[in-house]
Amino acid sequence: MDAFSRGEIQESDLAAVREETVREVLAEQARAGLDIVSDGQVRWHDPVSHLMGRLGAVESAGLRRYFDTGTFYLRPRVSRPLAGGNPLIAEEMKWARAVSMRPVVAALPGPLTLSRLSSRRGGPYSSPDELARAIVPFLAEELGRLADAGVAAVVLDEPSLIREPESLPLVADCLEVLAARKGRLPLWLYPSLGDAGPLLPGLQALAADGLILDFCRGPAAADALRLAGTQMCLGLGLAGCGSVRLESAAELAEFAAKLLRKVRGEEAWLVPGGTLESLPRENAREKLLLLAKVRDMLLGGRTGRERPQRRPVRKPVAKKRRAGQSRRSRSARGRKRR
Amino acid sequence: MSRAKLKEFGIELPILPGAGPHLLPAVSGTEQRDELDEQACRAATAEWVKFQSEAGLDVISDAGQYRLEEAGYLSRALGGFKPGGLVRLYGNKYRRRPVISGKVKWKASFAASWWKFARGQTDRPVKGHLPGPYSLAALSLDSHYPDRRKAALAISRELRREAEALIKAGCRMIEIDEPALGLSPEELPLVIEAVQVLVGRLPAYFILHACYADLSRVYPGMLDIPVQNISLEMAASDMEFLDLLAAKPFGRDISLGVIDVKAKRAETADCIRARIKQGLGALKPERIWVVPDYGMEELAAEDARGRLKTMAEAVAAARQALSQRQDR
Repeated sequence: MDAFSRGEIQESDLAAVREETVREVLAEQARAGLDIVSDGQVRWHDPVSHLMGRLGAVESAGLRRYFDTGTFYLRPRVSRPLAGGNPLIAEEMKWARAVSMRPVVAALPGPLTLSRLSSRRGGPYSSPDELARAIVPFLAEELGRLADAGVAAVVLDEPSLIREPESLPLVADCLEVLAARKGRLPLWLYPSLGDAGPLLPGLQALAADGLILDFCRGPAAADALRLAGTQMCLGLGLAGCGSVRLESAAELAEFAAKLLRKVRGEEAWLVPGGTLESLPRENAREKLLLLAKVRDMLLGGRTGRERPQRRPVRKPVAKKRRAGQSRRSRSARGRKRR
Repeated sequence: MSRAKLKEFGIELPILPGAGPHLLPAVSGTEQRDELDEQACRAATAEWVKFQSEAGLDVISDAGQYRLEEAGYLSRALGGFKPGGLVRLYGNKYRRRPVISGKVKWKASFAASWWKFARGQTDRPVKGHLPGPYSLAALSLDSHYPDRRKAALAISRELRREAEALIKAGCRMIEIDEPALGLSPEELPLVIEAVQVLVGRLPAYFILHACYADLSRVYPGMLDIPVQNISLEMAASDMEFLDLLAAKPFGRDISLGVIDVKAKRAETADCIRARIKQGLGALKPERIWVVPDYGMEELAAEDARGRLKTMAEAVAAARQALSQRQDR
């Protein structure tokens, strides 16, 4: 990118480098034993401006820190009505799907987060909520494209919901619109980068196929889940990305097994808690390997590499059928779904 | 009241004092590296202190040449820290993240001797600098403490020893860098507590620096942070913070960020003056300091010099305009 900005290479050269990097990221996840992989968003400048720029918010209102991840984003300035029509990330995902050996999941920042992290100064939207609602139709349209692109699922990332729990009704409205447009494409919600425990009752009523909870940020999410259980598919955020400390696979497996008894949804995923981008690459790789190991422990010691196609999935990881069922019944469920 | 406190320490500042940023660009020998080249650092510090004084700044920064590479600096300064691997910040920008791998422990004075050296190069007041305990806990990769609160408070206790060392060396203005303020609004009480542990009852004028975060969800609560001056990045965010002051007056000194250090093109003196004027529209002049948004370490040295000179010119012009207005 530096060479491109200095005019030393052409745009086609940069595109080739990006493609090669995405291939590498996809292969790295597959080697770690993940069942579902992501493109790592390595083409993205940051989690916010990549999308908002494609909706016409190309001006920047300066650099901002992206929550407490240690990373930054260019704050978009929405100075005119949003405009869509072109794919946001569907083309990137289509390409990733074509070159990946594993199913690919797409992650999209949610409308609440995009609206809260944008500047509306001098623009047509009078409130953050109005901007959030304006973003939704474009995301809904994109879900259709992503379904056509063959992604296995879409994760809607909403870290702002943790900081702004009073906006749950707004997120509920937005999800209703998205759910109506997504067809059979599974849509998961991830109120990330915090402990969503206090929100769990409200989250369970949302029009999402799955919910991802980060269990590395505090005890409330686990406590709430133990208490109430869930009928939804659940993603368990286990390997914490706020630390390079490698958790014990056995302890995580035990922790997950207990929680999974409370899950009545069709699927459960194991995912990193937080964003792997906040870790150095080597540490991120270790976290992925850890998740695959936890999955294998939950499944009774089998390795992901032996039968990778049997497992459900996700982005950075792995996994699994419901714990608490017999191995036989898990296998049956797996075959049925395939 | 804050000016009275400074006066107690024998520091008298003009109206709208201009102050240097906590970091200035590397010059030969002080580029980011694990091992510190003491000789090169001394030469660079002397050069930057001299430059700031000659440019007309009223409060001089020690220029931070010894801490340009944060992860390496922390590992030298505090036991328990070590440099982590590279992490992408955004786009193609990478930096090593500090790792907390053990109990944080003050080993020996790390900032006071640099402050003393810088002070010896000028007759103007020089700020000392400390990393913020909350931000170190929030933005490092913590592998040791069970939670952020324990980490932040442990770091605070150790940093307090360095604050004491700075004061013992004669430093009476200490800037604490807390860029994580506002990133997790629910943790504001922890920020306040951590800063209190660090500065409580110490005889100095404390400045807290925050930047690149949405502060709307921690204002006005952030005014409970026990410091005399809050230094804010404002230019990069179109001075939006000033909008918040309608909810509650600021009520303490403020260092107004008027240079967007991430902008590719340097601002003109008129542009900086306009930002100062915006500040004057919302705050009392005796409360305002004028500073760059953030450290200028990512700029080329010549570029940073040019921008600081422009800022000093804008400050002088704004001061003159204010004086004329008061005369009328």
